[in-house]
Amino acid sequence: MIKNSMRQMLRTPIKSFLFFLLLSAAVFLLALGGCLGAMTVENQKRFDRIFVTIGTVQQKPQYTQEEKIWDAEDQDYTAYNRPVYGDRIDESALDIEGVNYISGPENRPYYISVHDSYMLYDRETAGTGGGSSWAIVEVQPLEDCIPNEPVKLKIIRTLYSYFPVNSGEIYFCDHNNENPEKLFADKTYIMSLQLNCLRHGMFTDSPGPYESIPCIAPDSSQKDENGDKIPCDLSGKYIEEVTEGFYETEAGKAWLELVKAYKLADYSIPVTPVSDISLLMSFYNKDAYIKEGRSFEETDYEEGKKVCLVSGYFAKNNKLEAGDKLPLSLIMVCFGRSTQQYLPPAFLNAQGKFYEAFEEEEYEIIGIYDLVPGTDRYSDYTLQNNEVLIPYTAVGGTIKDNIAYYGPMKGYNTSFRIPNGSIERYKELWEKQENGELDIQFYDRGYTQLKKSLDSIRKIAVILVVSGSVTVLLILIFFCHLFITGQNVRTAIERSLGMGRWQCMVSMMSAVLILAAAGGFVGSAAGGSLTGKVAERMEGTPQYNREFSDGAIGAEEDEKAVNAAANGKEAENNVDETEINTSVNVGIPMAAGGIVFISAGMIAYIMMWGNLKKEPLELLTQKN
Amino acid sequence: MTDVKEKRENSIPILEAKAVSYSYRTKYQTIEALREVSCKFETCKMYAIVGESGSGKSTLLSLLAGLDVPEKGSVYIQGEDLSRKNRDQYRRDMACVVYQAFHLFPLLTALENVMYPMELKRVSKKQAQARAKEILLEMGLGEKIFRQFPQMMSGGEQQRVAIARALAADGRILLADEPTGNLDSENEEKIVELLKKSAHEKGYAVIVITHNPSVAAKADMVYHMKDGRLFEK
Repeated sequence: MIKNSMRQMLRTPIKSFLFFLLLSAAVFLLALGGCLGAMTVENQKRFDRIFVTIGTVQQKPQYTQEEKIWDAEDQDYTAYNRPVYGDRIDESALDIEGVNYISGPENRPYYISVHDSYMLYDRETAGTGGGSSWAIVEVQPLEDCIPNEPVKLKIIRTLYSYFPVNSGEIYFCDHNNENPEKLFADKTYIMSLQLNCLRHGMFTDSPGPYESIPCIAPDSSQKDENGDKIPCDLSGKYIEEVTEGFYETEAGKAWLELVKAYKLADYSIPVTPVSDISLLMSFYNKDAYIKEGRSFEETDYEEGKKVCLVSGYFAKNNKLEAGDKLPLSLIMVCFGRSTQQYLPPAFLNAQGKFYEAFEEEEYEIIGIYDLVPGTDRYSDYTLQNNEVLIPYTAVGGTIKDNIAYYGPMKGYNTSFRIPNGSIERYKELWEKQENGELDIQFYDRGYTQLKKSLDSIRKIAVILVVSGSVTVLLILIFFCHLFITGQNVRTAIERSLGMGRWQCMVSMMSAVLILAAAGGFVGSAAGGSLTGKVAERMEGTPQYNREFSDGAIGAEEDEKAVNAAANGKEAENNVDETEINTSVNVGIPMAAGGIVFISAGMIAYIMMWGNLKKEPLELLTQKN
Repeated sequence: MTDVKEKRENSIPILEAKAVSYSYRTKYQTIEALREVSCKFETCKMYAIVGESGSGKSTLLSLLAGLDVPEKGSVYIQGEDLSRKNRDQYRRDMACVVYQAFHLFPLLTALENVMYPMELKRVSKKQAQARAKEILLEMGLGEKIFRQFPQMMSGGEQQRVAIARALAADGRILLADEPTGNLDSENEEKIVELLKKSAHEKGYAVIVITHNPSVAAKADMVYHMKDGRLFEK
């Protein structure tokens, strides 16, 4: 029966070939459109998983102010422009109706945690100092002098020094003070110094000796919750005379507190609370990656778990690994600075005391991160060597008495995350806010460009699917009419020869379905195999713009970075991950072919049934 | 294959129509094609049904062939009501029709056309081919015609192939609707002879619809139809 059916079909070769050819071409369009559509959906999902869109916020200075610093060597002022910011702007200014933030906006502070168990650097490889270093010393001038040029002082007592002080005598210059006070040879002075950091005539043939200059005075930069400075009675003097009972006085006590602060600062680390590590540029740009353990999970953020990520440098120096506990004693909070700038300009609170911890907890180290080689380690956007990261919600203690510094929003400490592809919408809504005080910079790693490419491919895919479907339907209807409905006499003869309805249906439909299957297979195979090339031709292998970044974020991407780092290579760019993947799921063209086959079956069935429900006599007498 | 002797011995009415009525609707009216027609047909005989165009001859033949069912009355096959039997099987095994317009499969060769009913009965291809050739040769068609398509044959050749196809089904009733209507007199003669031979030698009950008196004259029995009614002549 099927053989006879095929035989009759093939004896009209032009008609049959035309059917096969046209159907193949139409299925090609359909399969191509389907594959392109599926490809865009797949890529869209992948990009949405890989790409992260963030915004960083910076407060615009209201104006710049010229400031002058006295230079003792030049006997003149050096002028520079300092930006002056207005009132503190809260991150609530970024609460915009209609904006769906994924994370943030957050104006991240960093905490300073102090614990005498911390080892901040490898003392063996760091040497014993001798270069520029901090110290608080009691000194006596060798003779009466005015330190507007290098003068010789004898160190009487070292209350603190970062590295051991080698010499009993130093040169001192109150370098930035136009009118330094006179120092007397028979008096003892306490001063906070940056040791051996300058030389007069450094660039001449006969440079002067290394000299030390005043450093941090016993002063306070403590702010209240509104960012206003809390008044204090501290003198803020860099040099004070030590007299009998000096350390019993308020000024003397403040110096001792400063010594204590200095000592503890040697065992301090910055702790940054974050609600999404992709908000940190080091992670966003993939300069940082998790090399051991895991990153934060949603529950860590939501429940404010006492968990942390530590740097590989800190972990190595302290012999820590994932799973270990790390005591965090949080004493200071700094807003507006980067962890690279780290310690605030003054160490004491408004009462002249060193800050007391507002929270002391043990945190579990869940992961260790590292920076890839070649990262700019001094950028304000880069994580500091010993920086510890904790969930934003992990700190429960009140910070109001421990704010050591308050500054404006900066790109490195204020950011938010929004859904991919929503930058334009955000900009529109932001413009309506008419807020001229904040500047927002967006980073999406070129997602918008890729999305545009995908959208244009998607449009073409829709056109191809619609036109392919319509063409397939028309071809099937037309040829089924020719091969089935138009063959009512054949049906009548077959019926009159004793063929049952179903036998007749098989006889009439089998050849059509075999040809439809062949056309469907050829068309879908061609559509599937050419999809990649067509996509590449359409967009010229679109690739994301790396103007802002060089990588993607997420577990699988981090793993790649780890491997790259382990192989001693710079983090390989995830070109494959961030290009439009033009590979095709074979299921799509197969499905297209299958749908065409089923449609052919249905159309043929409907048309055939029209003939079959009639008696042979009726078929023989009706006009075609 | 049914033995001819057996067909002769069973010369009881193989086909009978009892008070059969049939009407059909056209765009403007309902036409009563058959009005309580009754008739009997036996094997080994050739019957002619004559009448003017529109008298209901072809409609009667179609009902007898099981191509449709009467509105009233019944068609009996060997005493059994056809409406209670499988009409497909009846057409396949018992009744075969030859049309004025031949109605051969245009895309099959003469040989394939004749093999077709045998293939439906699941006769092996080899046997079907041998039997088809035998029948075609009996019809006076040379081997040359075996591989020819209908449109390459003359009208007479096509009608002989159509009769060969009918005989290949090896049934007991052969119904022919104006089998010589499109043929010249020479071919008409040959076809009528073949039909007679099929009745008398092969034991078929041959029922020929015709308006040609010379064809009717050669039948063993003639029925006359007028206005949907059948009269025995």
